[in-house]
Formats: sequence, C-alpha cells, structure tokens
Amino acid sequence: MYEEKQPVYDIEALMREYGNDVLRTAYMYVKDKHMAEDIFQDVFIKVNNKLHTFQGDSSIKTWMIRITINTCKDYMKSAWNQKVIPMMEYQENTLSGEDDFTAVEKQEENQLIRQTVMKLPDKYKDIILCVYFQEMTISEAAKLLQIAEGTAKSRLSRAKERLKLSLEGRI
Amino acid sequence: MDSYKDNRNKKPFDDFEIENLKDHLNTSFDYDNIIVSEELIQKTKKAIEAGEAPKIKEDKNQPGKHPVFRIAQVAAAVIVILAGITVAQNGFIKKDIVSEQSAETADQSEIEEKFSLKSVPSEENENTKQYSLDSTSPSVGEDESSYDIAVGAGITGNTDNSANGAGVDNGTASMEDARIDITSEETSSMFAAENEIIQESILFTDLLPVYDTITKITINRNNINYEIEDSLSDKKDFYDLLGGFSLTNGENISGSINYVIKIETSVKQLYTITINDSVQIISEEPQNNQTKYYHLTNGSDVLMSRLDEFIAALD
Repeated sequence: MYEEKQPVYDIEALMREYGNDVLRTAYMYVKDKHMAEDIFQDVFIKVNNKLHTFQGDSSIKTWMIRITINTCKDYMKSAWNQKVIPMMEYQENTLSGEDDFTAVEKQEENQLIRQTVMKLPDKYKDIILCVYFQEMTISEAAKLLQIAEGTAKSRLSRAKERLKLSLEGRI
Repeated sequence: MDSYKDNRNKKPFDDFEIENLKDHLNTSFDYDNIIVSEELIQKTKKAIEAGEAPKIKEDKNQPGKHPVFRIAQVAAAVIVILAGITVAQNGFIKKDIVSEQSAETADQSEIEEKFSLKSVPSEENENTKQYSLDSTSPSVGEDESSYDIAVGAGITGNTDNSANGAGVDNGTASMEDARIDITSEETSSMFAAENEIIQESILFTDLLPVYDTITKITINRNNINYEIEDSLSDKKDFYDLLGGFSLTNGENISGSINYVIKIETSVKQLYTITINDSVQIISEEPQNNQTKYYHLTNGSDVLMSRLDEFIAALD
C-alpha cells in the first residue's frame, strides 16, 4: 500500500540552507545585525518546536519565512511597547582604493536599494520581500501575509511605485 | 500564478530592474557581512538542545487582549458600578432629606438662602445638564457658580465633569455630599441628569462590538473616495481608530460636511459618520427601519487628524 511520506527535516541542515534568508529577512525589519541574529535563533527554536505541525501546504522555506516575519513583527511590537527604537547600523565603507571606484559605486547603489526597501511601510515591505527577495508567487505571498490575492497585487503595485519614486534619479 | 522569475525578461522596471532586487540585496548583505556564521548555528543548536524557549513572545492578537477592548471592559465595569451606586442612593435620599427637615438648626435658613438653586429657571437646569456632557460648553462658569452654592454644603471645587468615567465619578461623589441640602425634587432631577450621562456615554465599540463584521468602508474626503474592502488589517486599524472616542445619543444635525464615512457590515447595519465642526454617527438598521444618531463628546480635531494619517497610509 502506498504511503505518503513526510520529508524528515534536520534543523542544522535547515539552518545551513535557509539561514541566510531568515537572517537577512529579519535584518530588513529590525535593521540591526545583533537583533537579527536573536530573531534567527528564536525562529529556529520555533521551527524545531513546530516542525511536526508543518503540513507541507507550502514549501518549508515559505513556512520559515512566515515564522520569521511574524517573529519580527512581534519583536517590533514589544520593542515599541518598551520604547526601544532600533537604530540603523552605522555602515562603514571599507572600499576606498582608487581601483575600487566602480565597486564602491555599485556597493553604494546596493546599499541605497536596501535602505529604500527597509524604509517602506511594513505592508509594502512585506510584499516586496516575499515576491522579489524570497521569490514567492503572488498567491504564496498573499497566503503568507493573510491577505486577499487582489490586495497583494495592488500592494505590490503600490510598493513598486514607491520604490520607483524613491530611487528615481538616484541610481 | 507566475513567479517573478517567469516574468524576469518580460517587464523591466523602468529605472532599476526590480527583478534583480534579490541580487542587489544579497550583494549588499554579503558586503556588510550579514551572513549566518558557524558560531550562530552552533549557538542556536545549543539553545535548541537546552530546550530554551523563544525570547520574543507571540502576539496572538486576540480581540479581547487589545488595549481598546481592555479599556472598554474597565469603563463598562465602572459605569455599571456607578449606575448601581446612583440607583441605590436615589432610594435613600428622600429619607435623608426628611430627617434633615425635621431637625431645625440655626443654619437652616442660611442654607435655604444659599439654595436659590430652587428658583433657578428650568432652562438653566438644562444648561447644567449640558455642561456635564460637554466640558467645553461656554456656560461652564455659570454652572460652576451653581455648583459652588452647593459647595457650602459640602461639594468640593472639582467640577470638571467631562463625559468620561472619571468626570462622572467626580460628579457622583459631589452629589453625594450635597444631598442633605437639596430638596427631593432637585435631587431627583440632578440624579436623573447624572443617570442620563451614565447611560448615554458610549464608545463606538459598543455600537459595533466586532470589527470583522465590517464588509466595506468607504471614506469620502473632499469628493475623493477611498474604499477598504479586502484588507482585514486596514479594517481593524480603522476600527481601532474610532474605538476610543466616546459618544452620546442625540438628534440629527445637518450642515456642510468635510468627511463622509460609510461602514457596511455583514450584520445588516450601516454606520454613516459625517464630520464637519462636530462628528455625527448615524446608525441604521434597515431591516428594523431604525435610525439612531450619536455625537462625539470631544476630540473631533484628534479624530480628523488621525483620519488624515489613516488615509495617507492607504495611498
């Protein structure tokens, strides 16, 4: 008789495969490397505790990103309640050699794009990160964010418009 | 549904290729060394093995846990207690006054003289009631003096009777002190006014207890319509925005309007909020052919500025 087998996930393997996605998504919300690392740890504790409840309705990565975004939002709420406002980290530019001019320029452009995405209101940042950073489909993103697909589409369109306005003439 | 990858070569994003956002972000993260380190993996593994609980508590966002609901619950409890006390006092006051009248003291004539409140025309009594409902009423000074007469018999100087729970509370305490010096007729009319305040002061959350019955919100500002239909979070935000303002029953007020907000619900109730100098909420139950009017007791400026912020966030 055929039995559908649930894949067995090893937590360390998940950390190695999706760790950067979790850490970087967290960073986009909390804007601080150390806080992002704390969230990374919390996310994988939760993943480990709830792994048995994962039904496989979405990919394991989507499920983990959902936990990450929710954890970040919970953190932001608790930080707000405690009047702790995360500061943007000071970014030291270490590329200063003459030959590195193009690399510096490129890096500045990447930084600018990252900062612009980070400054978006949460509802726009959510959809942009899901679709363009985590490569989800609109319907996956809508499901993750618990919004209607139509809303996800219109938010994505508005988010792109905002990004475009913010970056226009700067890159 | 196609992922962005499928459309990658179809639709470039004008000035910068948003489809390449992942590459831009990852390059930037690599550069800033925002990378999962071996140390972080080992630290997390140890935490898991030690059975550590997550540091950040989950916010289940239960409606009953929301601060607005908690405040509403406390306010409701206070109102019920005050109403109980007031009703109980009404029963005893007549007795108190009769015993006071029988004991003729040297001060009696003086007190009666002070209580020229008896001869205050009914229109003025109406003002006193209005003052209790609206602390910004221009008749405050006049009413304060009316209360000051009673102060001679025990009322303290605190006459800041707004429509909130604290204001009502002060008013009730003051009334209690004054009861021996006023006639039963005056007492009943004052307590009736007080009861009226207690009964009439309500929150929007009393009119519509749960936000997820809202099917559609239409905001018309300067002839521009904003609609909220799909987003539950926007509906909740809007509901929270209205929830904290206290309202009183009233009559229909017409006039020029800056905002018209229509809230449609799945429970066949329609709320129309009109805002000009004052804020009016019209609650309609078409099935029962019932229409009620409510007015914001104060804070219309605050409500308008919050609405502006809310609309700005919708854009």
